[in-house]
Amino acid sequence: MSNKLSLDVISQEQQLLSQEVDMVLVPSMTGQIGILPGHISLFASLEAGELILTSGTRNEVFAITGGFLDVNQNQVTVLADSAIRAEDIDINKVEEAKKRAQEAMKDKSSEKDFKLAEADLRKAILELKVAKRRRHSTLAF
Amino acid sequence: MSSTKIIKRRIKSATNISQITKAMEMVAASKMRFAQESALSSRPYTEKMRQILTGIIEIVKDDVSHFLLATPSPTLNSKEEAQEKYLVVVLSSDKGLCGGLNSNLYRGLELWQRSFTQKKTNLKNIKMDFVTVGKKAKEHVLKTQRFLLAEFSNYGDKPRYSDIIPLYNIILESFKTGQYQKIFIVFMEFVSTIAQRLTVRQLLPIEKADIDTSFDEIMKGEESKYVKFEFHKDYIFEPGAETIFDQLLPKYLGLYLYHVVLESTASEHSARMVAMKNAHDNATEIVKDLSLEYNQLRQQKITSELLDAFSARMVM
Repeated sequence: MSNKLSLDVISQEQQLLSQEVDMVLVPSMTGQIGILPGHISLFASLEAGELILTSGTRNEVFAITGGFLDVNQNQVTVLADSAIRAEDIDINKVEEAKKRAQEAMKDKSSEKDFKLAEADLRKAILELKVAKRRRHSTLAF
Repeated sequence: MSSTKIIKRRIKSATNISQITKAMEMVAASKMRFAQESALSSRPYTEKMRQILTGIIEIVKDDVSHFLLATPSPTLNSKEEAQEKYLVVVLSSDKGLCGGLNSNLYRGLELWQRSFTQKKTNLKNIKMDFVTVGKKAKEHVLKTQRFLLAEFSNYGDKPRYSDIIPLYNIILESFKTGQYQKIFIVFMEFVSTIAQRLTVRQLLPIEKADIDTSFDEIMKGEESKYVKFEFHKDYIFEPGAETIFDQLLPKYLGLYLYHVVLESTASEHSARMVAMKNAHDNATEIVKDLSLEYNQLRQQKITSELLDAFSARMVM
């Protein structure tokens, strides 16, 4: 049995990643799950949070907003509603998006628009959190 | 004199056609780029989800029941005979002028329906109802006197996920109530700018067996790789399988429908661009031929006039 996991991260917009990794940490509905090679077949529903993968000494972090995880014979597939690499998060843009979402949420006339804005806000807050933590951890390395 | 006039008029109209088709080609090309991009970018997600889903459904089908996985039992008609009813979702373009796209779709639909009913001769009572997306499909279904359950059009060039929600609801609702045993979807899948392929897929119930009924040999080749994809017998579901299926299946259905709409839009614009390009090329060719003919005639006229003048002079 190979001692590597082959990981695919696919968001609804694109295939983000396809590579060999040593470990994957995902935010499942019931808490964070760590996947190591040789893991039993698993299908889990994911929450919004950070997806962390380790490959050698390198760590990579993604911010994902919900989705599904499939583990099958060392093939790990993450189907995320949306996903972004922590390094690719543009803090200024996200701050702006957050403000916009907050503005939009003040208008409570349409329930649908409100929900959309709420989802945007939640996504923005998550991305900010991930990006900021990422900054700190790079300093620590 | 009159023949040159006619030719001149024909040159003018052919030039007009070539200009119009050129413009339409440009428009289609720019729409096509967007449509192709969105179709191709949503493909990995949908395909992967399909692959995983059909795989795990095979494993858990004995333990988990979900209404999207089971075939509702057929209703009995007045003579107490079981009658199977199928719903077919057909996607076409709203507008014409896109080459053989829609006629290929109609032909494929007829062929598929015939071969399907022949295969199931033991079931004499098959009724197919239709839901159409796009005006052309609606026209075809009505012209061939079939039952049209619902019709959607004007999705535009950039369909959004929220646009397909009514379609999704009608499909889910009519399946949930047990009105239909199976739901199929027929559309033109985008292969490349110059090729679109008719695809027929079983939408509901979601199952691995005969999930694909494509005529195309290439498709079969592609499909076989999913079969090779083996799934381990013991699967853990986190949280429980029921909860996951409750979430995953409706979501998959919605995403799949959206993806199919995107594919069909990409096919439409690609087909239109190619059709308009061909029309433009043909019109240009005609203008060239006609100009040659016109010039020949003109020269002939001049020559005969000159001859007249010379012969008149010689007589004097």
